Amino acid sequence: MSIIQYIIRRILLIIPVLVGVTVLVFGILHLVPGDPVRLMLGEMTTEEAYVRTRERLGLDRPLYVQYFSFLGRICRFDFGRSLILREDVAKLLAAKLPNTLSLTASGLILSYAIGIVFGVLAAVRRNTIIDYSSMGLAIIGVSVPQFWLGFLLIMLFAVKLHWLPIAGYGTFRHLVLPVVTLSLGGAADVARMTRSSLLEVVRQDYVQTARAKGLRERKVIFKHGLRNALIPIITLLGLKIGWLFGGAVIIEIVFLRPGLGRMLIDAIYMRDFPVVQGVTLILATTVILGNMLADVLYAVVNPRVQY
Amino acid sequence: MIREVLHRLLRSRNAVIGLLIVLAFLLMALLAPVLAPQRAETQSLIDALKTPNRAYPLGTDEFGRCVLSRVIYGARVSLRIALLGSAIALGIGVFLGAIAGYHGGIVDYVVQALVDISWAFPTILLALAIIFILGPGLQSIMIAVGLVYWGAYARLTRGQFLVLREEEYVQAARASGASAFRIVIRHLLPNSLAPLIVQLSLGIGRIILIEASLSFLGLGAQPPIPSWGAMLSNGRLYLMTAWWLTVFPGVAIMIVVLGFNLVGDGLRDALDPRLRRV
Repeated sequence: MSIIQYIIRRILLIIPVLVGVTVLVFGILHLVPGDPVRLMLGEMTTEEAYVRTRERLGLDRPLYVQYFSFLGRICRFDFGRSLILREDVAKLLAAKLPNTLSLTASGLILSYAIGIVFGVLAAVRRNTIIDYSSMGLAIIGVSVPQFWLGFLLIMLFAVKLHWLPIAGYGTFRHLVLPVVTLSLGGAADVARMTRSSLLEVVRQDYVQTARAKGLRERKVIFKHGLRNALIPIITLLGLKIGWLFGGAVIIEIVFLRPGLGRMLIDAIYMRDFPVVQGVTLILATTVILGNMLADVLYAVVNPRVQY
Repeated sequence: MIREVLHRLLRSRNAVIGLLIVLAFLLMALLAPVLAPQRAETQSLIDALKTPNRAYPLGTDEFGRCVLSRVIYGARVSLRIALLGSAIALGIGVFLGAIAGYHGGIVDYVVQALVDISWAFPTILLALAIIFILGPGLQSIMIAVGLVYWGAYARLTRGQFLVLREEEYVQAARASGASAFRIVIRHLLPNSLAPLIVQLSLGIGRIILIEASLSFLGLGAQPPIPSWGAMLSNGRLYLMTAWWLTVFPGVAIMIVVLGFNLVGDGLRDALDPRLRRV
């Protein structure tokens, strides 16, 4: 199978997953206890308004008809109207998505940058204080609640040192603490993976041959070792994308950033289910597409991959 | 086999530290009424927001409640959710993974698709959606984390079963007329336990973090239940003036999760000597 065929197959494979996600998101409306129309209109409504809204939403029709109508609407990016904000959910999503995306993308880049540097250092200086301290920090990094780390960074850099703003949104300075908070946990995972992957690779025959040829250690590590060690680290990318989006939801609350996370939590409190459905769907779809890209990237960089 | 693994585990310094931490927190949760200087809910408004001192080693909150006592009682909440949530995840995951791995075919395809769908959601997002349906509360969190984490156990069990069912001793059991249930319980499951235990240890740590996050968002433990996440959420309001409200519950979460992660790492190395050399 050529790589093009592999990519096409991989794209086709996301269709059932996307359908499953839409079924789950559609199900939210019907699984929530209570009558969705009463939730929308409140208890003090006339019977006529109740029936009219029920018909307008199509809730009187069979479930499968409702599902396909829901599917048709989301294909046209029509996610309904927010019950609280009285605005189109699609418009709200379009306004907030860039904030969440910029936070997540910066977090992803920084977590890989920090993680790879520390992972390589730990592997190259194996069983030294550098290795022990990097890996010690890494296991602490995966054990720390992100929002708590955010508070500690706020207390140090904003409250104590006044270097950065406590919270808010708008400038690059506002982005620093949220991105650092988001990336540290991810960096810890990447560092652990980089170290073990690099140590695995440097034991391979071709790396030993490179050494035996008399190549300098630095060249052996970077040209032969790291390039191949990076392949499994790319697989981690798929997992990390979902993890970072989840983290972004919490980080937005900690740093009072207007994004999808904040919008989702507010909607959960207010029982604003069109917004909950919209945000859930858009985040899950982004994660699925991110995973697919990671898989394709993996196939492109790894010539040994079995399609 | 078990003795050898245990021996290897106990030779790893990190794993022993992890085990000690986990044991200490389990004891703390069990003996909370004995260890805590006060009950978690005891208020003393005159002592509100006191810095750590001799009477209150970790200070007090805005109601004058002893932070040390609340951190100690908080271990009960976190560990209960983590252990019961893990049990739910393990139960669903092993059941579905076993059916998928043993039967293969369409059942396998459906289970795999369900795992893929649940993994398409960021963990916290799926948990939030489930809590939106069930309503906030600790019981909802427990069910949510169970429904979020079953996929990893299902994948592991399925993978193990796929390999093991081709083994000669399983074929022999089948040829001798053993029922599917007997083969699964007597042969397949016991030999699949190792990776499940590793995953369980790492999974418990993650569930503690998720519970803390959800309680921090106000969707888990409701006042006055002493949950570490809820304490941090409250501490946020006093970030500028009362650092101890934010620092100590977070330290407790970090240490207990670190303990489970160290045990998980140690178990993985002990069960897979090839990785240990790396």
